[in-house]
Amino acid sequence: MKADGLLAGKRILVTGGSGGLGRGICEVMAREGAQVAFTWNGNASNCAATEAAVRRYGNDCMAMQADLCEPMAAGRVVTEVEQKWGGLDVLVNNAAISESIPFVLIEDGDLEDLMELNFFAAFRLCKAALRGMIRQKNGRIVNISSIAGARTIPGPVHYAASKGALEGLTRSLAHEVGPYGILVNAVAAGIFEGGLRSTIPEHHQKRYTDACSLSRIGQPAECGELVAWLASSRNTYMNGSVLFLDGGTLA
Amino acid sequence: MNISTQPQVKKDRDASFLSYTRSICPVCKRSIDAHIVLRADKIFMQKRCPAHGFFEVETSSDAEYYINSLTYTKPGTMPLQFATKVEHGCPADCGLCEEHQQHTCSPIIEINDVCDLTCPVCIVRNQQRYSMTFDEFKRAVDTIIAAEGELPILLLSGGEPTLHKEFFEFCDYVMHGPHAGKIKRLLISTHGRKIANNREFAERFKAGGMYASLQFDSLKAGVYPKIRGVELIDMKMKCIEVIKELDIPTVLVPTVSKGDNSDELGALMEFGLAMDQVSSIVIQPMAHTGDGGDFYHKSPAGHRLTMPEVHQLIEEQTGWFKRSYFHPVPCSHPSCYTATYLFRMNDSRYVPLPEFVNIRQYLDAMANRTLLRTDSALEKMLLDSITQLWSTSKVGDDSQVILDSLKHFLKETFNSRNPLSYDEVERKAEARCKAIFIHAFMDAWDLDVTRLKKCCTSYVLPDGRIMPGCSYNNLYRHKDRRFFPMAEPVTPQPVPFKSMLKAVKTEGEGNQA
Ligand SMILES: NC(=O)c1ccc[n+]([C@@H]2O[C@H](COP(=O)([O-])OP(=O)(O)OC[C@H]3O[C@@H](n4cnc5c(N)ncnc54)[C@H](OP(=O)(O)O)[C@@H]3O)[C@@H](O)[C@H]2O)c1
Ligand code: SF4
Ligand code: SF4
Ligand code: SF4
Repeated sequence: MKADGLLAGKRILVTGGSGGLGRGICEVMAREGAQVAFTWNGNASNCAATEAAVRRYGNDCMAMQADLCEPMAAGRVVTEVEQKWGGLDVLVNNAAISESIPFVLIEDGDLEDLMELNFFAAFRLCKAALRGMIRQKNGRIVNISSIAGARTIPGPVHYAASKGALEGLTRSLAHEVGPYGILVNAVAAGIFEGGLRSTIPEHHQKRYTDACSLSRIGQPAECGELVAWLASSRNTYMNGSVLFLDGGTLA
Repeated sequence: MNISTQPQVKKDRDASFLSYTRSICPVCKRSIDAHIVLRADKIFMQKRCPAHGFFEVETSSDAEYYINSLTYTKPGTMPLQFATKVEHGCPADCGLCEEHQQHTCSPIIEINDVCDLTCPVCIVRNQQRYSMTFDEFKRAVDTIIAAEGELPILLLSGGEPTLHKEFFEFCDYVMHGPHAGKIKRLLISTHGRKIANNREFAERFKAGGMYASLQFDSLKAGVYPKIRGVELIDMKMKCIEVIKELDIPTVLVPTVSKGDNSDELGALMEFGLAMDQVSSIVIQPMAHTGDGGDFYHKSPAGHRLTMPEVHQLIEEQTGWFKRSYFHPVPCSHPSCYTATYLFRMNDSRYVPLPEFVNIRQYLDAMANRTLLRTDSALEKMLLDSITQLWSTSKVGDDSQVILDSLKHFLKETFNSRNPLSYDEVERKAEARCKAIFIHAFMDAWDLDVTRLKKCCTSYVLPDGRIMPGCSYNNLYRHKDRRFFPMAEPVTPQPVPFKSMLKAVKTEGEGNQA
C-alpha cells in the first residue's frame, strides 16, 4: 500500500470493475493507495482478474456481485462498503452497456433496459452514496460518460441519450452538493480498450484513430489516471465538468 | 445461250451483329477475331479460324438479360504495380499488363499438380510431379501483396493442395508471416478427402483458421462417378459432418455439368444455406478446358450452361428463389460472375438483400470486390434500407419480419453484453447473410478477350506474373514450365522480381475442384 499516494486511505466504490475501463480505474486507484470496492455482474473470471490487480498493491479489496438494474442493488452495495470500511469517499459510476441498433429499431424495451443501468443505476448509486458523503461533508463522484453524450458522432441513440442524461445529472448534482464538499464530475471517454468498443464497427474505429492526434485508441489505465485525480482531495475546484478524454480526437 | 432472268437477291445475315472481340480457335488456339451476335433472343459468339473454319457457341440464353447486364460496370481499380509490359496485345501480354482493367481481388496460388483423383471435369493439367517450394510460395505471396497491398481472400489450389507436404507451413506463412493481417481469408480448394478421413489433419486445419473451399457437386449417389470419375458421395457427406462438428468455415463449390447434375442446383443451394458453417456457395458451370474438361463432351460447344440458364434452373428448382435476385458483379466483366446475398430471417426463411436494399447502393457495396465488407458503404446501405422499410412497413407484413430479423442480428453482433472480436463479427455476419455466386469460367469455345481484360480472379506465379484465370487456363497453363519443363518459354518475361520486393518492403474457387 502506498501511504503517500494520491488516494491514500480513500474508500472507493467503482461499478463495473470487471469490465475494461473498470479494471483500469480500479488498478490506478489501488496504485494510488485507495481501498477499492467494485461491482461485477456476470463475468466471474474478469472479476477475479480485477481483484488480483488491486491486491497486487497490498490493498484491501471488496468484489461485490450485483445486477445494478435491480432497484435495491445500489443501496445494498453502498451499505456493504460503508459497513465494512466505515464510510465511502469516492463513487465511480462506470458500469454501462451499449448495443448498436439504429433509432427506428429501438423500442421502449431496449431503451428501458439500457437506461436502467446507464442512468437509473447511476442515479440510485449517487443517492445512496450521498447520504454518507453529506454527513461527512466530503466526497467525490466521477461518472464515466462518452464523447457520444455531447457530440454528434455515429452511435446508438439510446446510448447517447443515456450519457447525455448522465452528464445533465453530473452538472446539476454538482451544483446541489458542492456546498457539502462533494465534487461531481464526468469523463467523456473516446474509444478505449473495453467491452463497449465491440459495439463500434471496425471502420468507425479506424475513422476515430485516423482523426486522433495520437493515432490510437485509449488504454483503460489512461482513463484511471484522470479519474484518480478527479476523485482525489487534490481536486478542490473542478466541479460539474465533463472532461473529454479522447487523445485529441474531437479537439 | 441461257441467260437467267432471275435478279440476284442480297440475303440478310441470320443474326444481328452486336460487337467485335478477340477469341481463340478451339482447335489450334491461335488468336482470332470473334463477333458477338444476337439471334432469336439469344447471344452467340461466332468466329472463323483460317485453318479450322467457322465456330459458333451460345454465350447467353437470354439476350435481354445479357444486354442489360452490360450496364453493370464500374471503373476498375489498378493494382499497385503491373508485372508485364504491353508488347504484343491482349491476351499475349499476361500479365497483369498495364492495359489490364482490374486489380485482383480473388487470387489463386497453385501449390502442386499432384492429385489422387482424375476428375473428368478437371480444368488443370496435373502431371503429378510439381510441388511448389517454400521459396516459390513466399515469392508468390510477396508478389500478390506487392500488387494488392491487402486482400479479401487468397485461394490455395492445385492439384489437391492438402497433399502438399508443407501445406500447413504455407498456410502459416500467409496467416502469421510478414504479411499477417493483410489477407482476410485463406481459402483452400479441396475435394475434402483429408478433412473427411484424417482427424488430426481436420483439427489442424480448423485451428489454422483456414476456410475450406469444398468441391461439392451432388447430394446423391451416381453423379460423382460421371463428374469426378469415382463415387464420392459417402466421403463428401463425411466431410460435411466433420465440418459441422469442428465448425470449419466453408465455401461450397459445385461444378455444374449440363444433364449430369444441373437438376440439383436448387437442392445444393438449399443444402448450403442450411449450414451455419457455409459462408458462401460458388456455382461453377463447367468449362471445357484442362486434361479432363478438354475431353468431357463430344460437342463442347453445345454442352454448356450460360448464366441466365443457371438462374432459371435455380428458380425452377427452389420455387422461392427468383432469377431477378441475381445481379452481375460489377467487379469483373458482367458475364463472369453473378451474385446475390441472402439474409436469414428469424423464422429461418431467406430474403435476398437486393429485395430490400437500394440496388444502386448494393452494387456500389459489391463493386471491385467479391466479398461484402463491413465498411461505410455497407453500413449506409443497411441503415438506409432499414429506415426506408420502417417508414413504409405495417404490422404483420413481411417487412416487419425483415426488420425484426435485422434488429435481432445487430443486437447479437454489436452488443457490449457479449463483446465479439472482428473475426467473430464477420463469421456471425457470414452465417446470417450468405453469398451465392455463379462463376462462369471460359474455355476455348467462348473465350472472350473483353472478359479477360477485366478479370479479377488470377493465378499468381512465383516468377512475378499474375495471370487472369481464363487466360492462364486456356493459353498459358500448357506452357508453364513448372508443370511442363520442356515447354517453350513464354513472352513477355515478367518484370524482374527484385523491383517488386522493394514495394513490399516500403510499405473462391479454382480448378473445378
Ligand atoms: N470502451 C469504450 O470504447 C468506451 C467509450 C466511451 C465510453 N465508455 C464508457 O466506459 C464505461 C466502461 O465501458 P467498457 O468498455 O469498459 O465496458 P465493459 O468492458 O463492457 O464493462 C462493462 C461493465 O459493466 C458491468 N455490467 C454490465 N451489466 C451490468 C448490470 N446489469 N449490473 C451491473 N454491472 C453490469 C459489467 O460486468 P460483467 O462483465 O461482470 O457482467 C462490466 O464490469 C462505460 O460507462 C462506457 O459507457 C467506454
Ligand atoms: S488479359 Fe489483361 S493482363 Fe492479359 S494481356 Fe489482356 S489486358 Fe494484359
Ligand atoms: S477467371 Fe475467367 S470467368 Fe473468372 S473473372 Fe477471370 S476471366 Fe472472368
Ligand atoms: S478437379 Fe481437383 S480433385 Fe479433380 S482431379 Fe482436378 S485437381 Fe484433382
